[in-house]
Amino acid sequence: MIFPEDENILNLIISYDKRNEGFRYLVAKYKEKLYWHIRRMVENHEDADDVLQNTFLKVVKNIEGFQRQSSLFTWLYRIATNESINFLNAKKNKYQESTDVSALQNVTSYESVNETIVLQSLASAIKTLPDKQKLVFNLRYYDELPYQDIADITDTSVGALKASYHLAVKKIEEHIKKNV
Amino acid sequence: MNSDTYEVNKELKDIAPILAELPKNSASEVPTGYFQLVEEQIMRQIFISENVHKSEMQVPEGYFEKLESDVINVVSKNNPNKSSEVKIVLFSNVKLLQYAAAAVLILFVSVWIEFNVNNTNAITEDTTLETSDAYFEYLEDNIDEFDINSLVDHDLIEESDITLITYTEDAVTDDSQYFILESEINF
Repeated sequence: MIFPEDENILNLIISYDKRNEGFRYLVAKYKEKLYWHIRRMVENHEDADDVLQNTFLKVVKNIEGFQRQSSLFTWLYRIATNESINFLNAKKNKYQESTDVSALQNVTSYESVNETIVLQSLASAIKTLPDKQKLVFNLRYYDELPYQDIADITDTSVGALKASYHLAVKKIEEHIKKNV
Repeated sequence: MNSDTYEVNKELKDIAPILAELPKNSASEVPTGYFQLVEEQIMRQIFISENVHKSEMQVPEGYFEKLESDVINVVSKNNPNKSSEVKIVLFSNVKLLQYAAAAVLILFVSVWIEFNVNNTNAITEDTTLETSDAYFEYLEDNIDEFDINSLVDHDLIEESDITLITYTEDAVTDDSQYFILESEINF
């Protein structure tokens, strides 16, 4: 499915007579990207589902105040990131228990044993990262975002982000070398 | 492969060649049809959220900011000459008002006192009269020979005050005799 440009989606939303159409495009265009971004942070599908729905509701409530100084895409990621962090803070203890289970579920879906071992090692390596480093790693490695977009999402300078990402990648590489 | 992907992969190969070779596809599973389902759920929630928002009582944007100036404009148009006039209350007028208020107060207090004193007397007299009449009526109806003898014995009445009326048996059914006091009894 081909989606309209972000600018056109925003114009539909603020036009009021085609507001619902605009929201439909917005949700359809970004639901999967935001889901995976959230899922990588909260790890559990049910939690990711809750956070994703809350994220879109927050977007709807605040869309009138969106100043268009940053791109719609980075604004959505920013809200999704904040929602995920709030969720994790509220459920920190429970989260720690559930991640172990979800990590096992994740790796057993792969047929290749070697690949499974490597991915298990990658998953455990990512967990050892500090929260900010983990967030930066996920946005760069999985979402393949430019540093400037990550800087907009995380309110961090590009220089600090590069350093953070490089550190995270080195740690993970070392972890995989040792465990595989 | 877009430019961002290329750039990210190139960077990764330089600093972490093993990691760069790993598949990026997420190993996590998502229930079948989840993304279609979640889109409908989100759209339903948006619909509810939007309609709840609309159903609340709302005023046009900037209404209260404009209200004050709008009211002043309307008043100015309706009373163009009076709009700039300010009512001045002189201090001497205030003093006059104070005297008038004091006079009215005195008048009310006087009327209240007069009304209440007279009323109290009237009530007392009426009550006394009513009680005396009822009392003598009771005595006249219920006095008997024993009572009269007691009164005479204690010198409260004299025998000359008493008229004995004897009724014939035709005139009276049950009682044969009634003693009637001709004069009032003064205790």
